[in-house]
Amino acid sequence: MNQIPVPRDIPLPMPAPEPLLVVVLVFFFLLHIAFVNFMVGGALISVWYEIKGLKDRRYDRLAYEVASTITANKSIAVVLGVGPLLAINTLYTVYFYTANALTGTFWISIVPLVVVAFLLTYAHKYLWHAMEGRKALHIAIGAASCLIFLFIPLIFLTNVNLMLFPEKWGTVQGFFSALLLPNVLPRYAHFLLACPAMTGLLMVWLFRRRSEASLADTGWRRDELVRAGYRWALWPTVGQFLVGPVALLTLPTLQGTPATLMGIFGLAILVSIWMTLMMFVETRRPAARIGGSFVSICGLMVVVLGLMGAGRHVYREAAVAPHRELVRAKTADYMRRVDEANRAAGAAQSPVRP
Amino acid sequence: MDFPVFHLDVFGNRGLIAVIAVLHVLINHGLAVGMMPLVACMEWYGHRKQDPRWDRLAYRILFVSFLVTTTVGALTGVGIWLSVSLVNPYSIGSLIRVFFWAWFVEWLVFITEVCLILAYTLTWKSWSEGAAKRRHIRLGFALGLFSWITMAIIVSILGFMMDPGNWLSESTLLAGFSNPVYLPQLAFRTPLAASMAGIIALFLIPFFVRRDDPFRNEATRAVGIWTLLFAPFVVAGGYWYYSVVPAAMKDNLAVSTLTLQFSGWLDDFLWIVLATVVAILVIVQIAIKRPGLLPRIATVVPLVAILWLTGHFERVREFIRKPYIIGQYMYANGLRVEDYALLQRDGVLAYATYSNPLTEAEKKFVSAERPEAERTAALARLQKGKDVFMDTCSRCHTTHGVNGVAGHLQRMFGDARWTPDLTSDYVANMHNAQPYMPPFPGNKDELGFLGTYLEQLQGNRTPVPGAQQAGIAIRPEGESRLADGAAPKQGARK
Amino acid sequence: MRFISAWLAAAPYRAVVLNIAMLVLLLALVDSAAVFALVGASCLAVAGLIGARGALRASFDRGGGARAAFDRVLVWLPGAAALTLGAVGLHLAVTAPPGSTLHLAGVVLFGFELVMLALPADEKPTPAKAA
Repeated sequence: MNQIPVPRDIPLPMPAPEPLLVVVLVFFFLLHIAFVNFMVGGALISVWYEIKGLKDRRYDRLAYEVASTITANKSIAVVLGVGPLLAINTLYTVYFYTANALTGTFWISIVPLVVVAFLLTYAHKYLWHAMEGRKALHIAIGAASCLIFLFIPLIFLTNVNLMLFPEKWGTVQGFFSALLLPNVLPRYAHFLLACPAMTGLLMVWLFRRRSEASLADTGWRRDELVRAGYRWALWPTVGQFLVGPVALLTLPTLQGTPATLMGIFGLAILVSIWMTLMMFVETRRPAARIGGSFVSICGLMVVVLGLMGAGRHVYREAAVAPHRELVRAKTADYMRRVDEANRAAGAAQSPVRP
Repeated sequence: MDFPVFHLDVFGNRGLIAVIAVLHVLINHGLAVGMMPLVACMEWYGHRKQDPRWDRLAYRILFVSFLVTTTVGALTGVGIWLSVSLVNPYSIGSLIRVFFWAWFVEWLVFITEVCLILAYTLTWKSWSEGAAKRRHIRLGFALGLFSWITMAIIVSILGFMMDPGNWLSESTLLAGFSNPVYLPQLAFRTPLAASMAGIIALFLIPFFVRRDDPFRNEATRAVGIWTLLFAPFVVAGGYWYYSVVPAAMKDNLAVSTLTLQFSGWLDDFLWIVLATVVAILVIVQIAIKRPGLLPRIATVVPLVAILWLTGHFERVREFIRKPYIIGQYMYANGLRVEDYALLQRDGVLAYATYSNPLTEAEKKFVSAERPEAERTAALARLQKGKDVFMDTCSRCHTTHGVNGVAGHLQRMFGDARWTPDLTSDYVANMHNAQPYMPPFPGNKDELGFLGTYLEQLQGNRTPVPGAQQAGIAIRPEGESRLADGAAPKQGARK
Repeated sequence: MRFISAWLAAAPYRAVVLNIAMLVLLLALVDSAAVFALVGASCLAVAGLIGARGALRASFDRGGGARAAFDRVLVWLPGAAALTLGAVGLHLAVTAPPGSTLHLAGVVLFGFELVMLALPADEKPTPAKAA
C-alpha cells in the first residue's frame, strides 16, 4: 500500500523572498558542483597519470601538477556547498529533512567520509616526493581517496532524489533501498562523466597560459598538455549524449510535465552538441593554434550548466508543487486548531507551564 | 513530531551532536580564531626582527592548523548542521527561518575565511620579500579577523537558543540577534580562543624546534606571554557570563528549587574556570621564566585543562537551556510551547503523520497464545505506545543506551514491575519533580500507551532502530484525527 | 650531605625553591592568619620591588633595551602576573578556613608565585639574530 504522507511544515514565515532563495540554491549549487567536479575529476585523473607514470616519468610529473590543484578546489567546493544547503533547508524543509532522516546513517557518515578523503588527498599531495620510493603505497592512498570521493555523491543524489517523491517515503528502508529508486544511478553516471570533462577544461586553463619555464619543469610541451585536457573534456561529454537522455527518461513522469522542462533540456542538448563539436575541432588543431576557442567553449559550458540547473529546478518544483499545497493546507489547519485549543484552554501564552 | 524519527538507540542522539559540536568548537577556537592572529603575530615579529626562525615556526604551526581546520574543522562545522537536522529538525528548521540572514552573512564570511586561509598558506613561500611580505602579514591579520567574525555570528545564534530575549514578542532577526547572553558569551569565547591557541602552540613548539636550539626557549617564552596576556580576560569574560546566566535561566524555569541546583552547576563552572586558568598560568609562568625547565609533557596539562573547560562550558550552555531547546518557544522534544494545549487535549498521535513499526523483539511482548482479536488490540496499543515514545521522548532518551529511560526507571522503581499505572503517574508529573524535563505533551490515553511501551522495555533490551534503518509507516489520515485510544486499527505498513 | 649540596649547587634555582618551600611550610605550620598575612605580604612586597627594579633597569637599558611593545610586555607582564596571583594565593591562605581545599590551594599558589618572583630570569631576552 502506497500512501502519500502529508506532514506539517514549520509554522514560521520564509525568511527571504522565494526567488532569492532559488537563486542562492541554483546558482551557488552549480558553482559548488563545478568545484566538486574539479576535485573528483582531479583525483581520478591524477591517480590515472600516476599509474602511467610508473613507466614514463613524465606522466608522474603531470599527475603531481593535477594533484596540486585538488587541495584548493576541495576547500572551495565545501564552502560553496554551505549556501545551497542553507537554501534547500529553507525552501524544502519538509522534503529535505525527511529524506535525510530516512537515509540518516549514510547521510551523517558524509562528515567522517569527507574528512578521511581530504586527509588522504593531503597525504597524497604533500607526501608525493617523500614517498617516491614507495610508489605502490602512494598510489593506494590516492586510489583510496578516489573511492571515497566516488561514493559520497551517491549519498547526496539518493537524498535529493528521495525528497522529491513523498509516495516513496513509506516504502524505503534505509539508504540502499532509497539508492535503488529509479533515476539515482543514471544521474550518478551523468555526474561521474562530468568530473573528467570539467577537470579536462581546468587542465586546459591551467596550462594554456603557464610560463615556459614552469612548463619545462614538467617535461611536456604546451600543446600536448592542452590537447590532453581537451581529450578529457571531449570523450566523457560525448558519453553524456547517451547518459543524459537516460537520466531524463528515467525521471518519474509528472502529471503534465511542463513544456518548459523539455524546452530547457532540448536547448541544453543543442548547445552541448555545438560545444562538443568545438572541443573536437580543438583537439585536431595544430600546436600553434590549439586553445584558441577555449573561452567560447567555457562560455558554452556555462550555458549548458545553467540550463541543467534551471531544468533541475523546474522539475523539482513541478514534482513537489501539488504536494506542497497539501502541506500548506495541513499546516494552516493545524495552526487553526492550535489557536482554537489555546483559546479554549483560556491561557494565551503557555497553558502548561510547570 | 512530523518528520520520520531518526534515532540512535545505543549512542544517543544528543551524543552524536555533542561529539561533532565539541570537536568543532575546539578546532574552531583553538586552531582558527585564536591561532590565526598568533601565527600572524609570529610572522610579523620575525619580519621585524629579520629573524627567519620565527617565520619557519609560524609556517609550520600554520600548516598544522591548515591541515586540521580545512578537514576536520570545516566538515564538523557542516556536520553540526547535518546532525542537528537529523536529530531535531524542528529546532534547526525554526532557527533557520529566524536566522537565515545571519547564517547567510556568516556563510559569506566563511567563504572569505577559507579563501584567505588558502591564500595565506599557499602564498607563504612566494610572498616572502619586501612589500609582498608585508602584504602577506596583513593577509594573516585579515584572516584572524574573519575567523573571529564567523564565531561572533554563530555565538549570537547559540545565545538566542538559551534566551530569545525580545524575539518572542518581536520576532525579528535583530531582536533575536541582540539577545542578553550574546555579548558575555562572546567576551568569554574570544580570550578563551586566544589562550587556547597559545597553549596549543606551546605544545607544538617542541615538535618543530630542537631542544638544543636556543630559539626553542625564545619561542616558548613569547607564546607564553601571549597566553598570559589573555588569561585574565578569560576569567573576566567567564565571570560576566556567569553573572548573566541566572537571569536567562530564570525565564526558563518557574520552579525555584531548581535554581539551587542550577547555581550548584554554575558555581562548579566558575571553579572550573578558575582552576583551569590557574593551571594554565602556572605552566605558562614557568614557560616564560624558565622555558628550559618546562618538561615537554607539562604542556599537555594546560591543553587538557582548557579542552575540558571548553567542553564543560558547552555542557553548561546546553544545560541552562532545558527544558527548552529554544528558550520558551520550543521544548527539547521539538514541540512548541504553543502546541501543548492542542496536543494535551487531542493527543500527539492525532497529529502525527508517521508511525514507527514495531520490531519483532517488541512484538514478543504480546504473547502469541492470546486470541487473535485480543492480540491485535494489544499490538495496536503497543504500537501507539512506541509512537508516543518515539515522538515525545526519543530526542533526548534512548531505551537502554545513553540516557536510557530503562535506566531511569530502574533507578526509581527497581525490579518491581513497571506497570503502566506506576510509570504513567510518574510521567504525568515528572516535570514538577525534574524541572529539566518538559511536561508530557500527550493526553491521558497516550500516557497509558506510553506506560505499556515502557513496561515492555523491562524485558526487552534489543535496541530500537530509527527511521534510517527500519523506515516508517504512514498513519491513515482517518485514524489520526480520532485518537480516542480505542481505535484498534494499526498504522499502515507498506 | 655532600650529595645534597652538590645537587643544590648544580642549579641555583633549586636553592631558591627549597628556601621558599621551607618558608611557606613554616608559615602554614604556625597556623596564624595574622603572621601569614604579615610575613607573606612583606615577602611579596620585597620580591615585587626587586622585580620592579629589574624591570625598570631592563626597560631603560642602553642599546639593546626593551623598546618594542613585545619586549616591554615580556619585561613587565610576568612579574605583574606573579604578584597578582601571589596576592590572590595569600588572600586565600589567610581567609579560607584552615584545612580546606581553598586554603591549601592558596598556600601552594602563594609559594609558587613567590618562587616565580624570586627566581632570577636565567637569561635575558636575547636580541634575535639572523640565523
